[in-house]
Formats: sequence, structure tokens, C-alpha cells
Amino acid sequence: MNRERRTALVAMLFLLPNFAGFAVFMLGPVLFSLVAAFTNWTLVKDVPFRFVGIANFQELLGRQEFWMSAINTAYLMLGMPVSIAGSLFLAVLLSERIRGATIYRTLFYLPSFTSGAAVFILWKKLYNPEYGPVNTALRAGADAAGMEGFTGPQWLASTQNLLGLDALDIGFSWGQWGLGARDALIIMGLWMTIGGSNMLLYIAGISNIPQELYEAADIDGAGRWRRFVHVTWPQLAPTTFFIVIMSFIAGLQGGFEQARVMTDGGPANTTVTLAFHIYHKAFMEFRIGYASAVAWILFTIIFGITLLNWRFGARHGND
Amino acid sequence: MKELFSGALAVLCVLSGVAYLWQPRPESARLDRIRAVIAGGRDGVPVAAVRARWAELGRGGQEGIDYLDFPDAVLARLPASCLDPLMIPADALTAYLTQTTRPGRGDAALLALSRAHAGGVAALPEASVALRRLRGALVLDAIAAAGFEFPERDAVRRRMAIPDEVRFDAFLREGPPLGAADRERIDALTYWIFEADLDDDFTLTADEADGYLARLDSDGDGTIGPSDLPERPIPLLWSSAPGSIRTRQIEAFNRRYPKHALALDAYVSSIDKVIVQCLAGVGPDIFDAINPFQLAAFVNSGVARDVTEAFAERGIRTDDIWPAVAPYYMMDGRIYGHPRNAGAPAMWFNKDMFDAAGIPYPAADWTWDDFIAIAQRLTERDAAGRPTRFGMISTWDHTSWFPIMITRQWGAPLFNAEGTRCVIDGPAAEAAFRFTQEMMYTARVMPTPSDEAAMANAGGWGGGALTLFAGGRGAMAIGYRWWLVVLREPEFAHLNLGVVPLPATPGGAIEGGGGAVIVNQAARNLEGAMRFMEFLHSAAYNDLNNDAADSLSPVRTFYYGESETDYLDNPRFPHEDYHAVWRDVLAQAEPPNISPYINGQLAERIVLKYGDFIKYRSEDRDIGSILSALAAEMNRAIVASLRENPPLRERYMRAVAAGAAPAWDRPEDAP
Repeated sequence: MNRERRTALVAMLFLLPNFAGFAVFMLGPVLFSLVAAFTNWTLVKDVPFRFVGIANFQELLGRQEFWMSAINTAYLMLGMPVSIAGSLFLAVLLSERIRGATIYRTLFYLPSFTSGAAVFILWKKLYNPEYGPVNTALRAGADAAGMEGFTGPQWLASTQNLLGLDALDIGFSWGQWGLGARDALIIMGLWMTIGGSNMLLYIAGISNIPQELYEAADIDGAGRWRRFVHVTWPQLAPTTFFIVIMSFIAGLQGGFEQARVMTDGGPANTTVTLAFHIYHKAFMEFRIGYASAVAWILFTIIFGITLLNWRFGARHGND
Repeated sequence: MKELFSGALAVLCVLSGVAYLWQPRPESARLDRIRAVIAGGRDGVPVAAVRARWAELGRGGQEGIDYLDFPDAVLARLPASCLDPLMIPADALTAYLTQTTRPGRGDAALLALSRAHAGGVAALPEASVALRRLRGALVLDAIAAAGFEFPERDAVRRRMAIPDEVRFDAFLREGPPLGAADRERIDALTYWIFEADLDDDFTLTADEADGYLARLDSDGDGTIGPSDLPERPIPLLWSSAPGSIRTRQIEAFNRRYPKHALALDAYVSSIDKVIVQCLAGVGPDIFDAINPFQLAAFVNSGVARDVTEAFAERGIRTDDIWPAVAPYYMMDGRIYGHPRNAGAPAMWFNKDMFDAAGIPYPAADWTWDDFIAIAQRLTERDAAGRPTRFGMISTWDHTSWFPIMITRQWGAPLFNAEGTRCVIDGPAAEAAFRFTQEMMYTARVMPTPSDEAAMANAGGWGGGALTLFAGGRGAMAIGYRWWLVVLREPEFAHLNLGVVPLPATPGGAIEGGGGAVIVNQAARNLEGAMRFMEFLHSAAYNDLNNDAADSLSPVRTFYYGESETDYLDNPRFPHEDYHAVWRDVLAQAEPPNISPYINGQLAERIVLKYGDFIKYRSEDRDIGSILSALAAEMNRAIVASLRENPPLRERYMRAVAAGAAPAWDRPEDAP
């Protein structure tokens, strides 16, 4: 056995425990769920198990619940660009040589290492439409501005949203225009993610930008803004690309914890995301086959969007 | 340095492992003692004979036999035959019983006890000494009456007559030292008697004696002998919510059936985990069904065991169980478990708040109109007009309990009687919800969801109607008897409470609720699981649960006849004057209205989805149209579930052929 092969073998051996875990606990179940998606598998013993072809996919594409939860998922992702821009803004600020930068970084990162459930419960209190601090502040502002009878948004108690999406049917309705539960979740999401790992990634990215580029820009007479546009932003392209992909994946899979802890999918199922929908179909209604089909649709969407990102985003990143 | 540290850590790990393996096992030591006693000559005492003996001793009724806290030194000198409670002649115990009831004899002990009660913990040793002395005297009397030889009897008697515990103690100390064998015998005897006394009141009732015998005869062959002793208790796993009551129930079971070691599996709490684990063959032996539609999920997935015949063989009569909780353990006439409690909602009210407002307590036949007038008078508001105290507290939370309860009470069930069609879209349900909105938003006598969340915040309590009511944030509250578990805490001792049935509604019904324990189809300890079913049906369990006030106990026969007074007047809580109300509302309650043709979780989700529009009072939708949409979606879901499940569909079609209303309106929508 030559030296190279031996090294490879040793490497394999070291990788084996990790790979075995991956195969048993990830790859196996994933493939199993792919097969399950084409069956009528439920936990009801009277129903004979059989392969149903693409019936699950046909059914789910024809079901309003699926589309509603897909719409909810997409809606909750509307905060993503704001969140990424906010992270970048903070990162640029915190990369300046200011006194106590470390303290600020820690403070902004706090929401990320606070327990999710605790944060959700806290925000639930903040959003109380009548007594919560958010609306109390809004009402005080409205009073000062001389607005009579301003009550403030109903937040988690409302099905309204900024796009005017209807609560029961796919479509829009004028009465639904306003701020409701989904917007509340977006705002909370911003608070949690702006100062989170995206900010850290950007700070790391900025610190890797060669100082010479800035010096050259200075010599060319670039101001702050032009330095940002022509040096910082292009240099951060790979970081941004990574963050966008990861945010898309997280966004499409997200909403489960919020739904479990804060809203139970309410009001009127408007905070049911695809992830929560899958959970409910599989473990509350016991339609495992159907839920697997939804999960694979979700996977396909994530895969497709990531592919698109690679195709267009990566090219942009190389410019 | 680092190596030293990790080395020390490794040694520590090994040491703690060894210590764990070598720790003394109290369970097996106790069993060994019982084994020693049972193996001591009498193989197979017929249970029937022993039961007759106990019945004789208990004088055939619930009247108890006070047993003795034998002083060790006295016991050590008794003849061996005295140490077996089954062998103490009836006369001896009868004589002893007479002694305990003789006036004057117990005075010293009673005095000491009452002083201990008044003086707190510091006076307890005194009371304990007095009690021991009294019991020492009485056991001597009993032995003498039985004619046993006991040379020191007179000496003891002489000294005992002098009311001086120091000298009495001295006598005990002066006696010969106890040998190891004496200790064994004493331990075995006190263990047996103590274990039989399930409620620890130092009194053996006939029921306790029966349970004690059942426990001894753990293999159920009608004799007590070495075959009843396991090498080691067999694990029995119960998936249920943890709590102090659960701990008491588990201890009581384990004392009664030492062959089994019942333990709580509190981490398998949700229905999905239970089903998945059971199907995978690693599930608990028994698990809870805590809402009426969970049983169907367990039965349909094949994890619930049909115990109908086993119940008949063991003489567990379901006729004795409150009918209002039938759906929790019975489906299509087959039995899958036994309820552990039962209850129906009624109106708690705060007497002091009524008195302060000069309002007479509500009468049992009051109406919702009476209610709203009273509730308005009892609601207090701050300067901004926002209620600080509500006339009535109830919670419409993330379960379907409130909407189902209120509509049913107003005469509008969710499904028709056969469960084939959702019929919530009628005027009765509309009226119920209109009234609910009026209570919350117009009259402002009941908290809206945001009121409730805000109060939970301000008061420092958790959420929920119970904590708000207990915290004085409401004058009335729709609740259950199990609230007593919390309300009996010392911090709520100042509350002066009453209970009255919910206001009457023509055609309305109250639904029963509770919890049942279901047997796993693949239970590894099936015998233990069935023993637990017997336990849930026994007087011991029912009394324990009743006393703990975890709603009412499952077996209704314990609420009438001889046991009635025990239930109605709990001497520990003499001010609780409302136990009859809880019993009577449960007696009149109806079983929950569920449909066997739709997954219960899905049905609940649909109710919640549309209920949100009512709960948050959506401006652009009226209640009638919300209810029509609810019923339409529910009926579509029923049809979809029938399409998926051919056997269920057949059953459904039979019901429709027999005259039940189908879930569809147009024939082409039929599955």
C-alpha cells in the first residue's frame, strides 16, 4: 500500500463516524421520506398501505391550505432584504474604529444567543394590542400628533397585512390592508436577525478587505459613499451571496417555532408556514405520506431557488 | 497539568459508575423481608379465608381498625405468632379496638395532638411520645386479651400506669438489646401494616385491607405464597403529565403492587410521540388520553388495546363509571382503558366580592340574563374605563374548549348525534357567540384575549382563567373541581368561594371532560397495566383522587350511599360547601360531542381557525357567515377523510343509510 492510499484510508476512517451518523440519521430518513411521498401512508391501521403515484402531489397542489401556507411563508420572507441591509449597515458602522466597538457588537448580537422561546414570549407581551408597550407608544405618538381615536394595529390578533391578502381565500381584499400578525412576526424577525450572524459575517468580510484598496480610493479622491459603493460592496459580494442563500433557506424552512410558541398558527391560520403545515399534517393528522410530499415540494423550492442564486448571484459575485 | 486533570476526571467517572452499581437497593431489600416472612412456613394462605378474617375484624364496614405503632422493644418480646398480622386472633384485635374507643384512654394523646396542632412543629415530639405510650399500653392489653404468654406484661403495665414518658422510655431502654433477628421481624411486620394503610391515616379500613390482600396475591391465583414474589419489580411505564397528584397516585400503586414498579414517562406527553413510540415498539405500557378525540387516534393507529373482555374477567364494571367521560376510553362499545378523573364545568364565584357588592349568591336556576346583570355590577374599571376586575373570567385560548363548551351549553353541538355532519351553522351557535362577544367587547364583563394577556402580565401569574380568578381579577369564573388543587394552596386560603351550576339554557347541555389511561396494544408489562386498571377502579384510588380534588374520581358509585358523606365533607377543608354541585353537574353532563369520521386534531384546527374571527371580533365578517364557512370546511374535511379511508367510508355510508344527515348537500359531492 503506497503512502498516498494509506493517508486516504486514514482520512476515511476519521470521516467514518461522522458519515455513519449522517447516513443513518439524515440520508436514510430523507430517502425514506421520498418513497413515503408516493404512498398513502397514514398511521391509521384500517387504511391499506399502497403506492399512490403522484396523487399526494396532485392533492396538495389543489389544496387551498397548502397554497395559503406557501403564501404565508413567502410573506414572512419579505423582511429578508431589510434584514440583510440592516446587518450590512451595522457591520459597516461597527467596523469603524469607534470606542467600545466590542461592547456594541455584543449588544447587537444578544438576541441571537437568547433562547428563542423566551424572546417569542417577550414579543407576545410587547404586541398586546391594548396594553402592550408597542401600541402604548404608538397611541402616545398619535395623541401628540393630534390624531383622535387612534387605537393602533391589532398585531398578533389580526389577520391584516400590508399586501391586503385575504385571510380565507387566495386573493386580496381591501379590508385586510393593515398591520397584523404576519407583520408583527416580520418586525420581530428583523430585531432578531439584523444584529445576528449576518452582521458577524459582514464584519468578518469587511476586515478581510485589503486596506490598500481604500488607500487607492482615497488617493482617487473618493468620499465615504463612493468608497462603500466601489470598494466595500463589491468586495463583500461573496459574503452577500452566502448570506442571501442561507437566508432564503432559513426563510423557507422557518416559522415553526413562532407558530408553536406565539401564535399556534393563528389568527385564522395566517401564521401557518410550510414547516408548521408539514408538522401538523404528519404528526397531528398522521398523514405521513402527504406530509412527505409537502416536504419534498418545499425541498424542491429551496433547491430551485438556491440553483437560481448560484446561476445569477455567483456570476454577479465574480464581477 | 492537563493530563492530570483529565485523568482525575476519568477516575471520577469510573468511581461514580461503580458507586451507582453498588448502591443499596431499598426496593429489593424490602421484598426480601416480605419473602422471608411469607416463606416462613405458610405456603399459600387462601385469600378467601384471609378476606373473611379481615371482614370480621373490620366489622364488615368502612369502619377502620386502628393499628399500632408498636414500640420496638415491646415488639421484640412478643411471641413470633403475634408478628404476623394474619395470625393475630380476631379476639385480640377486637379487644384492642374496644380499648381504643374507650372514653378517657385516648385523651392524653388527643390533648397532645391538639397541642401539637396549635403549637406547630415544636410540640410534635411530645405528641409523638404520648401516642407511642398509649399504643404501647393498648398492644399489651390486646395481647393479654388473646391469652398470649408475656412475662413482662405486669411490669410494663405498672410502669405505664404512671403518666411519665421519661420513665416509660427508661423501661424500654432497660430491656435486653434487640438482636438482628428481632429487627427483621419488626421491620417485616411494620412494613406490612404500614403498606396496607394506603392513606396513611393510621387506620386500616376494610377497603384497604382488601387492596392489601390483592397486593399480596400479586399473581392472582387466590393464594398468598412465594409465587407472589417477583425477583425484582417489573417496570411499568406511564406516559402522563407530572405533578404532585401523579406522584401520590404512583406511590399508592407501587405500595399496593410491589411486583410492579410504576414510573412516569413525562417526556412522552404529546399524542404524536406516544403513537410513534408505540408503533416502533418502545412505547409506554399505559398512556393518557386527555381529550375526547385522542382515543380515536390511538385506536385507529392500532396502539390502543381492546380490554373489553379483560375488564369483564376482572370484574371492572364500566356501568360504575361516569357516563359523561365515555368517549375518553370507549369507542364503538369497546373498552381501551379506564378514566382517571371526570368533571364538568360550573361557575366558581367569590363570596366576598358578592357580599361587598350586596348581591345575593346566584341560585342554581339562574339564567344568562341574570348572569350578565350580576357580572356587570361586579366588574370594576379604572379611570380610563378599562376593567381592572372582571365579572367573569373564562379563557378562549389555543384549544377548542371554550367555543365548544359555550355553543353546546347554548344548545348547539358541533356535530349531529351520529357525528356524520357538522351542524354548528345554526341560530343557537350564532346566539352563543353573539353573547360571548357581548360579554367580551360590549358589556366588557369577560376579558378579551388581549385583556387576559395583559392581566397575566401585570399580576405576575401565569395565564389562564384559574390563576386570574385566584388572583382576584374576577368575581366569577367558569371552571372545574380540579381548580381546588391550586386553590387549596396556603396563599389562596383567604379566598371565600362558592360554586353554582352554569346558568340554565333550554336545550343546552354541559359536556363532561377528564382524562383516561389507555393500555398499549404492545404493552411489555401487560399484567401491570391491567393491575393499574383495577387500581383506577378501586376505592383506594378513587378516595385518593377525590381527596386530592383532581376533578372527581372516575367511579361514580363512590359518590353515593355510604361514601357520600366522605365526599361531601372533607374534614380537612370544612369550608368547602360545594362538593355536591360538582357531583350533580357531572351526573347531568353529557359525553363530549365528537365525530368518528374526522381526525380530531384537524377538527380542532378548523374550529380554531374560524373561531379566531369571533374571538378577535373581526369587523368585516358576521358570525353567521363565519359559522357557515366553518361547517362547510368541516364537512368537506369529513368527505376527504372518508375518501382516504375505505373501511371508515363503509361505516359512514351505513350510518347515512340508517338516516343520519350526510356531510354533503349535493349527491355529486359524496365520497
